[in-house]
Amino acid sequence: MLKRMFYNPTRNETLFIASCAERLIKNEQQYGAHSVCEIFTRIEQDIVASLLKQEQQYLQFRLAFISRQKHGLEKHILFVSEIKKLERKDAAAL
Amino acid sequence: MMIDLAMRITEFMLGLAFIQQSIEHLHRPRDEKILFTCRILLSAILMSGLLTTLALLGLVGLSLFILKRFNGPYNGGSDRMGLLILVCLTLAHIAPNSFWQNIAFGYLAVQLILSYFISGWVKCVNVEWRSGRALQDVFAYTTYPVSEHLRGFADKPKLLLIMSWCVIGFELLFPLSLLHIHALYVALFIAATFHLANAFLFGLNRFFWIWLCAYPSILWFQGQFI
Repeated sequence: MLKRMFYNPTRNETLFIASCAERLIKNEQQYGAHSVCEIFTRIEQDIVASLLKQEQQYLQFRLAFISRQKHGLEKHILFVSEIKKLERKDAAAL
Repeated sequence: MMIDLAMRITEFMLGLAFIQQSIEHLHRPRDEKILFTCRILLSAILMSGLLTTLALLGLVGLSLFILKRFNGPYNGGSDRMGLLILVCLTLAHIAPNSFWQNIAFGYLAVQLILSYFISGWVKCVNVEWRSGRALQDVFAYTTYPVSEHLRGFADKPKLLLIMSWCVIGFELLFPLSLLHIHALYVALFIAATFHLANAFLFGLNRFFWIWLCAYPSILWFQGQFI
């Protein structure tokens, strides 16, 4: 916990991705391309190694937003990305 | 506290905070690595006390590139506060006379006061916060808690109601602490503890360090104007 006070890159990156998702939903025209690119890049870097083991070549993400409504929590899928072909050459270098 | 000393302490603390933030980016791709290596170098110069104005101007310019790189702040409020401190310090350094220097550095102190008071006011007029529900939701399903284990707090509505009102009350009353230096010390200690708790519970470590950087300005401000 003490270490995280000084060095917490994963956590701050998660918060940045959450910001990207919020910006994307708020104004897709202004932030769409940048946010999609950032989210794709960071997902790829995190999971691409395990995906390659399974010989999967495509990546797609969706943004689910949870909000409290009258009858409890509701989950809405507000964005589904295009399907992206993984670049195996770049991935292998990671 | 004299303004020169307050500014020097702020410069040193801001340099440290920027270095802490920048190190977190050094494992990232090349473009980020270059930007944040430059930031570390400029922050080190700022901390050294040599070429301070140049270092500040360099950091302001670099901040524009960083904002462009991430299409806005990378870390929300903590980046905004960092920019505010940086710009106020820069303006205080390039001010033509002591009057404008006081205005620039005093503006930082006023913004610090407002950062607490307005947060408290926004929570106070929000029924979700007044009922404790907002804090329950923060623990229940937002991205903030650092671990799933902490989501158990969502099932403690009475505790969260008390916590909500403690936060609202403290933030609304914060400006009154300016009336006496000892009250201000106590208020800043409580505020720092609040940021520390946020760092532990929600992983907001950058907020803790960057808000501390603005404290010398309010200590100077209290002595000057109250």
